[in-house]
Parts: sequence; structure tokens; C-alpha cells
Amino acid sequence: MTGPQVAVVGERNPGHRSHVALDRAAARLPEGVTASWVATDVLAANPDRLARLDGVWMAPGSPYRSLDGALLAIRYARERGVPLVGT
Amino acid sequence: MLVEYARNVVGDAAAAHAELDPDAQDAVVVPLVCSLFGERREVRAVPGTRAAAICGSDPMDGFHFCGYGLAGGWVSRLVAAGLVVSGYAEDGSVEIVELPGHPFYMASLFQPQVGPDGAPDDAPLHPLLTSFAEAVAGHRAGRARA
Repeated sequence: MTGPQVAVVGERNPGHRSHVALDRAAARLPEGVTASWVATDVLAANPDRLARLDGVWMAPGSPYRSLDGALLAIRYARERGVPLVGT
Repeated sequence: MLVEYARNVVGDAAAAHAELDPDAQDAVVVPLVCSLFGERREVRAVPGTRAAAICGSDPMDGFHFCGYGLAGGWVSRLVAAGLVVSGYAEDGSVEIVELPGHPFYMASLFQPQVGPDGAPDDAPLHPLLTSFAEAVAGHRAGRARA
């Protein structure tokens, strides 16, 4: 079993200072937590990906490509008690 | 997260984000009077909240990169529906909201991933992010037991 998994939900832009900082912070999360980006439109098309997550990190950088995908992730985490942070 | 809460908990299906829907009459997230692109300002957690338990109640330096924030008129509606405002800027605008009873539900206007200017790459993580990671590990441990 792999360690705890966080989805960073949003559209990664390597030119965006906030995203570079987010990547750097995400790589240093304690407790063996690993994080990987999931684009909102990918999530909207594949909502089953949520079931494997232990945490959701809503990335800055609105507007999201798919508001529905973003709302889906937030609602899932809120209703299922999955840790959720939005920065 | 505010739009999701307004739509699905408050029950206002039309709750909008003004950046996506500039003509919305009653948007939850609206343009800030003064946009905060690359700005720093002090953020103070409200005593008794989870944010204060994690960060303390002393002022924190918060980096911002954003032009939108919570609409003033929505604060009381979200609070009536269970959200707690757990951090403010000096001018009284909302900086952090949280959801009591949830293992970890925290949204911030400032960006805890961006440390102080000139901080080394290995500077300590913001406590909000450390606490988030602890909650994530706790969630995994709970799943493993289930």
C-alpha cells in the first residue's frame, strides 16, 4: 500500500509563482504524504479518481478550466470527511 | 470552496464566482476592492478556532496573489450555515474559513505555501500545511482500519 495521497486540484502553470511554491511545499509534506496534480476537467470526466484520495488541496489560480470538476472535489471532501485545504 | 458551500449547504444554486460570471447579481466571491497580487499583509487567527489552535493568535505574515475574495454580504449566510470565520486581515476582511466537525476543512485567502521573502527552500512549512498533512495521514490510517 502506498502512502497517503493528496490530489492538488487545478491547472498547473509552471510560470505561476504560487504553483511553484505549492509544488515545493507539497514535496515536503510530513507523514509520508505525496501530492500530485489533477486538472479540474480530468476530474470532471473521471470522478472515480476521488475515491482513492486521502486529501484534497485546491490550488489557487481561478478560473478553473472546469468549475464542475472543482466543485465535485470540494463536495466530495466535505461530505466524506476527507481533509481539504484551499489556498 | 465558498461557492460549493453556498450552493450545496446554504442551498443557493445560483451562487456564483464573479470571475466566471461577471454579471451575477449576488456572487459569493467578488473582486477585492484592492487586489492583492504579490502583496503581504498580516493575518490573525480568531481565538478558539482550529486555525488559532494550529497557528496561534499572533499576527502571521500572509502572502497573497489574488484579486477575488468573499463578498461581505455572504459572510453571515455562510456562518448561519455552519462555516466559521477563523482568520481576518487587519482591515477586517475574511482571510480564513473553517468547518467545525470536519477532520480538516480550511480555506485561506493568503497562500501558506509561499514563505517569507528570501526564505530558504527548506524553511519550515506553514503550520496549516503541516496540520493538513497530519489529517491526511490520519484519514489514510482510518481507511486502513476500515
